Amino acid sequence: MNEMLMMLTATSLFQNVVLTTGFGSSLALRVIYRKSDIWKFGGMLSVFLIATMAIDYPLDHWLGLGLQAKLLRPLVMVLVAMALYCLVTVITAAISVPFYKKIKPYLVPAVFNDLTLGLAMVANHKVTLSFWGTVGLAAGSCLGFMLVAWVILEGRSRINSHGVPLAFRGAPVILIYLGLAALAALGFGSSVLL
Amino acid sequence: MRESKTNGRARGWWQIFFDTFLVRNIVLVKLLGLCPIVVAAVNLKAGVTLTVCVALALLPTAFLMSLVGEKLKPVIRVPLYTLIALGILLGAGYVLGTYIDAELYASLYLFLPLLAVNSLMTYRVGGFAVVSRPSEAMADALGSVFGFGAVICTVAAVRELLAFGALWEFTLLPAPPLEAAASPFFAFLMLGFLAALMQFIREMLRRFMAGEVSVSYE
Amino acid sequence: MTTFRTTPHWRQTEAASSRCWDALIPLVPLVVYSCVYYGLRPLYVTLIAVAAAMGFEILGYALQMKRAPLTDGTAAVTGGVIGLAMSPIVPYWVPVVACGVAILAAKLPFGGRGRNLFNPAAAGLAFVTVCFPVQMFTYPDSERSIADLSQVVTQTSPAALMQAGATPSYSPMDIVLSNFPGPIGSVMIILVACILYLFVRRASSPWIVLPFIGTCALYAALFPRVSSGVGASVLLELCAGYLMLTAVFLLADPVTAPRHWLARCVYGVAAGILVMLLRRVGKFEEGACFAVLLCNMFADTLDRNCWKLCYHLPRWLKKKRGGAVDA
Repeated sequence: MNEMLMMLTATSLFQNVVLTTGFGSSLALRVIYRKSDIWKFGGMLSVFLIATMAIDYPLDHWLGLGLQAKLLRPLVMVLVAMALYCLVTVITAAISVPFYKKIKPYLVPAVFNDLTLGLAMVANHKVTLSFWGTVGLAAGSCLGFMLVAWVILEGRSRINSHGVPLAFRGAPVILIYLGLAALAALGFGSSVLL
Repeated sequence: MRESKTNGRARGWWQIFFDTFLVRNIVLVKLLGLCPIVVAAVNLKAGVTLTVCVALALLPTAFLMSLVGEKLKPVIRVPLYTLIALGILLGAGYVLGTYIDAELYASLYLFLPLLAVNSLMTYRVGGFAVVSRPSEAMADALGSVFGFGAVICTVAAVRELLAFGALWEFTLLPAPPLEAAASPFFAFLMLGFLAALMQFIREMLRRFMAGEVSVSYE
Repeated sequence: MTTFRTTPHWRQTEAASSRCWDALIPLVPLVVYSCVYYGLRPLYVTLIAVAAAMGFEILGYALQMKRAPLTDGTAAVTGGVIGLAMSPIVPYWVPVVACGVAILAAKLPFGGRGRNLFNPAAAGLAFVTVCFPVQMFTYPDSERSIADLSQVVTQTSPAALMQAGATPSYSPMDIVLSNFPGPIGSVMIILVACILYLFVRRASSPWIVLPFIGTCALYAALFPRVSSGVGASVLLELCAGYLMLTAVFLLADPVTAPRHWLARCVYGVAAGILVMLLRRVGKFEEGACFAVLLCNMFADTLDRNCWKLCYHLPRWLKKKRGGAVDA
């Protein structure tokens, strides 16, 4: 439990996973354009990320550490993600088509993204965690992602595009903003995950 | 003849290629594929290797999806192209680790599979290629590879020089001037300034050619 | 409903220049005091930082084919604050790099004066802290001359000692007079005078500075890192590093700080907690610049929510009591 809380606070706040590793940075910039997107997409990402890592944990231990395991590990993780995606798609489409249409734009990026697979790969390769530690890592990363997405949204709304030099309007200034945010996060140290 | 549904009018393959490569660069304008650049591109070898892997994964999947993608439901299409890309990347990783450079493979082990689920794959294969003709999809995929490759190699080369004082593992400087260049924040800042430079050049070219070429972008 | 303007503020030239010159004046006694201890080197470091900041401002505006508004003093203040946060024996290129990042990365890309989202000096300091921590945190012995840099004797600063778990052994008078290794501008007694001067001139907000210092003092009292008592802990934590410099010059930046009084209080408290947390668990002996950058990100949210709270709460309470509520 201590490990879970430690990973939760570390990856969401003190060593925010998006700012210190870069996982999920494209997602935060491309998918989130409104405040409502944060909760909708962040919620879906949380469900898939925690489920993927929770299912991957015993499978990864079963795979072991051999050369075949090294090659099979990403395949197993993607297969788990795919299974979850197919399951959610089929079930939601069967239960409620309007609900499925609402979540459809977020479904693929929420399942197939470098944050999910990256953390799943890191969790059993770079750091040795217990099951609850892995769940804490997943939950903390989702919170950290939502925090960064919110920070980016705030930055987008505050940047007065009329004052920004022409060369920096749009993507350049938001990348610099993200870079300075990542610099601010370094006060607590670089990521333990990489 | 099937029209490209991306902007409602037919575009030549060279227009699509240059649009994705330079004009609206896949990384610096569309903000796709940031993760491997920020995390993994700390030396030029890694940059070139990741570019080659992106090419190996993106080109065949984009071609395949442009042929059959629209006929498949998303619940089949998305897992299909992801699995194909992952299979190619795992094979490339095996070849890299066994026959080319085991140390490089060890350093990129975490990042090679990520290319299969990267935003580059999701948006270009799952987004553009599915609704395009094969020639357009290939032009876009090639433009994405060149665009991604140019950015990642530039960032990787600068970071290797500053953080390790070397280029392609050949030591050029007596001491690394800026070890923190290997941190993600430096990559974000560098990408921001590269994007600004590209936007500046584009704006200057646009003003220079105003009246000779009419260009419209969304 | 009343409209409320949020950060970044101060886009107009309204009292911009006078505020900046008010911020420049307190820099002078800080540099002079440091020169009494270390000779002319602190003056050179500060002047080079000011010149570098103004030079980068001219360069940045020249690239945009505009004339740099140097007369408003913002670049000079940025350079001066960066210079004061440096060690007296820092190589001259370190403050130049810090000013480069401050102006070219944290200020001009966002639109220049009055439009920056992050405090430029804090961004520059954070960059050189991450990139060159050895140069940043190597301090000379305050008892000896630094005329010949090759013969300089360095000493561990109180901030570094506390981070390592040791207790610095300085008398309260030594601490207040800053008779210990530390940044050029970390002189408690002069900084307190600077705070009062800026309050009187309305160039700094007491709603930010006082909660910040109070929070740091309370944290130091409740969770001391030293074993020499609560009083010594509070004095050492406030005087070590550039915490007070942050309170005076970085945190209360009118462009990046919130505007609402409640938001300012919360901002100051949050910054205080972050600074102390960074000192305890962070990587560097002084992380005040990182705390300022983190708080800058949330300044606008604080403003908006505190304004909403102060607008809606009295109406809600009045409604609860059964009174009529104005539209």
